[in-house]
Amino acid sequence: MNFLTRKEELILLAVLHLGESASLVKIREFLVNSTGQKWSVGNVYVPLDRMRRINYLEMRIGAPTAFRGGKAVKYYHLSQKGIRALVALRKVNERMWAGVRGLIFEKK
Amino acid sequence: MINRFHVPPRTARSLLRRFLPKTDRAYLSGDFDEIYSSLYDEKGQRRAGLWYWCQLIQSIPQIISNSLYWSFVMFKNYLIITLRNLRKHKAYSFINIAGLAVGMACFLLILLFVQYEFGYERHHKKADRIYRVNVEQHRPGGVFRARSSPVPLAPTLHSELPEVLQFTRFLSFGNSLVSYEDKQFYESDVYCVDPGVMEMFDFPFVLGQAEAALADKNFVVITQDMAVKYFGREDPIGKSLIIEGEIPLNVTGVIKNHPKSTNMNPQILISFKTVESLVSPSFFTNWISQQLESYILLSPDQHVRDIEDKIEIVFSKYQSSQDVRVLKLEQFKRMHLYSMTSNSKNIKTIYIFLAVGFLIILTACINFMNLSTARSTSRAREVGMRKVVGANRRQLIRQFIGESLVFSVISVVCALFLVYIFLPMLNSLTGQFVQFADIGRTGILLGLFGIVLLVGFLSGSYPALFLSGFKPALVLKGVLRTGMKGSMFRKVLVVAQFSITIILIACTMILGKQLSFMRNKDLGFKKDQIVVLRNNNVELQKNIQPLRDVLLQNPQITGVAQSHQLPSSIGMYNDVTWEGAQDEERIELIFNEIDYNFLDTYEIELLQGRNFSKEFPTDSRFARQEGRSLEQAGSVLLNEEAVKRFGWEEPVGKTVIQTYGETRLYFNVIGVIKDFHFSSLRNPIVPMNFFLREGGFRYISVKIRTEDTGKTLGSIEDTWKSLNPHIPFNSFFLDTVFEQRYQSEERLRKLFVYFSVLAIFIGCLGLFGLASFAVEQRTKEIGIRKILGASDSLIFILLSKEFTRLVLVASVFTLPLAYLAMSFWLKGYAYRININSHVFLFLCAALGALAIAWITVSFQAVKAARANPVDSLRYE
Repeated sequence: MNFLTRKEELILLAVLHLGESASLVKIREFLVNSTGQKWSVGNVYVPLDRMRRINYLEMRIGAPTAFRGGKAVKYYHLSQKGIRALVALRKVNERMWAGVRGLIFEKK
Repeated sequence: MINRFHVPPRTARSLLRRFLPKTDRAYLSGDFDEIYSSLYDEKGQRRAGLWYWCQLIQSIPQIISNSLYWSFVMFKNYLIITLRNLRKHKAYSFINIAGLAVGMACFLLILLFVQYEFGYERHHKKADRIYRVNVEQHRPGGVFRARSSPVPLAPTLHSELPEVLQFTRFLSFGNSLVSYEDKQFYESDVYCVDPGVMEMFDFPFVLGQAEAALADKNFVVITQDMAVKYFGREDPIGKSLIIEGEIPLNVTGVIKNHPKSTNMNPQILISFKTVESLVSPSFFTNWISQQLESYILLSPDQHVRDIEDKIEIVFSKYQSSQDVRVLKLEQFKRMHLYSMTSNSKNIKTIYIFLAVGFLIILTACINFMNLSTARSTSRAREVGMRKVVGANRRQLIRQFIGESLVFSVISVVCALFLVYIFLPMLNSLTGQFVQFADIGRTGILLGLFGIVLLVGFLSGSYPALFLSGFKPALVLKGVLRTGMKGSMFRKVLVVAQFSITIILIACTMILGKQLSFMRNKDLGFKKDQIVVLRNNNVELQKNIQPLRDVLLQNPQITGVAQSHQLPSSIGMYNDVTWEGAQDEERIELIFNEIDYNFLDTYEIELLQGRNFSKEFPTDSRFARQEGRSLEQAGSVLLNEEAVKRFGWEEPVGKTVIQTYGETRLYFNVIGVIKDFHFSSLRNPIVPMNFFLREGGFRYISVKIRTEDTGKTLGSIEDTWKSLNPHIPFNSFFLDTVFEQRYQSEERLRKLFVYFSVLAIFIGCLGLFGLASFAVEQRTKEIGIRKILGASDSLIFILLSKEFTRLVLVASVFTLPLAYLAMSFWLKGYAYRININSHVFLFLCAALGALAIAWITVSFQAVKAARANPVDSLRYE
């Protein structure tokens, strides 16, 4: 089976965290704040678009607002398929991390 | 939270919008704008603007590759469907690809031919600055242009005009005998040239130095071919070539062989100073007679018109008051295609070729359109399904155009293969040396690419629009019947296709008629069974009587005559005024010098007066002595045209005055000969005068009987060798010269034959496909008709009726068009067939097209008519 890439995982998590307000702008803001790294618009858009096309994400179109220059906004939320993929990845992660020692001490 | 909107930098924004995928454009640009606005409020306009630009550069590549990726996924699906269809309908695919491939191959061949023609003289870097000085004369009979000009012209222009940087003259030696030790050959490309030639033209030296190679008298530069021919492996430099048996020439240089794509290919270049010892000094100051071709090199960025004006001023200083000659410059680069001095312009052929190429490609495209729309029913379901699943019309159009592009690409590969096979044939037909590797040239590659796109879009456009217009609900219910909507358009296409075929057939036939007319027309003299012997030996020229006597003892030889020029290649003019001319008006006559036997040997009819005769000593007074008076007049023969120009009722006994600068020579007219055609029948008959000469002729014409020409030829050669063992024997048949004259017409005719065959082939392929489709559609109908008692022949008529009607409509449209085109073409010939008496040929073309259509359709029709109705009506 194909796992999500790290980028996709982060984006799906961000969408979960943001809930109702998960637009591209907010997702990007969230990612920048929580990872401390630079995310270009394209960096966010491309995986977002891909996951929409393979139905991990669903979307809803919001009302246009003035400060967006009168443009509508797309809000994303996870589909059942997306949730399943995320859960599967988490299980694998936990299994892989379980019993790993030493790393935490070294870091101290 | 920030809630104010700021407009981002305008250029960046419009740039961004251009690259965003259509479906997400509004949202994405909104996202960009939102972030920009918040940054603007936080950090100010400059930072925000900077951010916007950075984002643009970072994000656009990713976004583009993303949308490309997704469109490729769809493309893969289209490609699979296309290839499946291709495999499933093998016959249909074969017809399409074969038609397109043949059409494209044709077009590619033509393209190669055209680029070769345009490549002439390109290896001479200064070709655009080199001009030949032509002499033009405006006379009541029309404009006469000559390539040759007076001897002192070029050096005078060079010394008087600063714009003329360099000059060279080309004085032809004609067909001259060249020898080295015991090797003797006749060479036709021998010229005397000025040293400037090496600076003007790019003749790369293999041996020797360009600067000094032609600096002094009796220096000669030869090509590699010549060097090998005469010297073999010896070093040619410093060796001595003998020309015309008496002039020794010192080889000072060897140049590379000329490329094939040139008309400037002198093999032996002799220094011009050599001429000084051969002619009288007046040769170099004679502004009247035009002996040689003059080329000049202009400094960059000159206007030809300005220079022509300046040249005219210089020239007028040396012209006499009666001189009406005007000098014109002709660019060396343009000479091959746009020749000013010859009637057959190559550019015309090129246009004809391109037009034919496009017609053939068009036929192939029409095939494709016809077959795809005819087969639309079989794809209607697919279209319906795609529409139901959510494909929009644009995507479907893209799919079908993509499909025809795939066909087009496959065809072009086949076409390249065909070109590879047939290129040698085209070369032998056109006499060119196009290589397959030339396809790699940028021009050709662009053409190739263009033709793939053109064919793809042209032939895909109609099916795409047609097929994508289906209503899914109807199609899936099975309501749609057999693409009837397209049948009208299809008919138009078939008519167009047949029109092209009929035009090509008609043109080919008229072309052939005109050609055979020109070949078989009575020229006014007998050109057949005449063997011409070249005689360049001065001693032998003085007296050929012994040779003549021995030759005439042979019963197969009926006549021996001598002349200065052959009837096939008369090209020298003299300026003449005549008794009774107003204000000493002058006209230019073609002249030839002949012996007593010339008229009899060539069977030229004498209409009035008498032939030259030994009984009249005055006949032979042609010596160009100065100041002869009327009492010492010589004799001249005129042709009918000359008499007509002079306006004489009773020509015999009248006087013609040949003017020669200030010199005047008087001649009495002793006879009038019937007009004869000496040049191509493209040209009208021109006035001529003939003079008698006792000896010094370059050509001996021997008339032989038709039986056993080979043996007679052998005995002529034996006779020659036994009498003149040291002089090489060189002979040819006169009619071969005439054959060569119509080479370009013959070439055109052959090409038209091939192209019509190809057009017919492509058309038949399409018709065959259409017929098989029609039969398939009407299987049930035919079955029922047969059960109800229709005979096989009735079914056959039923099926071929429609196509017959289409061909008839096509003929009605195109025959007038072909008629007009051909009468226009025929206007280029002074002597031509009367097109109105050949109208039946056009009917033949139409009937031919009809016959071809019937044969093609009948394959399918017979099969359908013979089929057992049970097979088609049974339901399982």
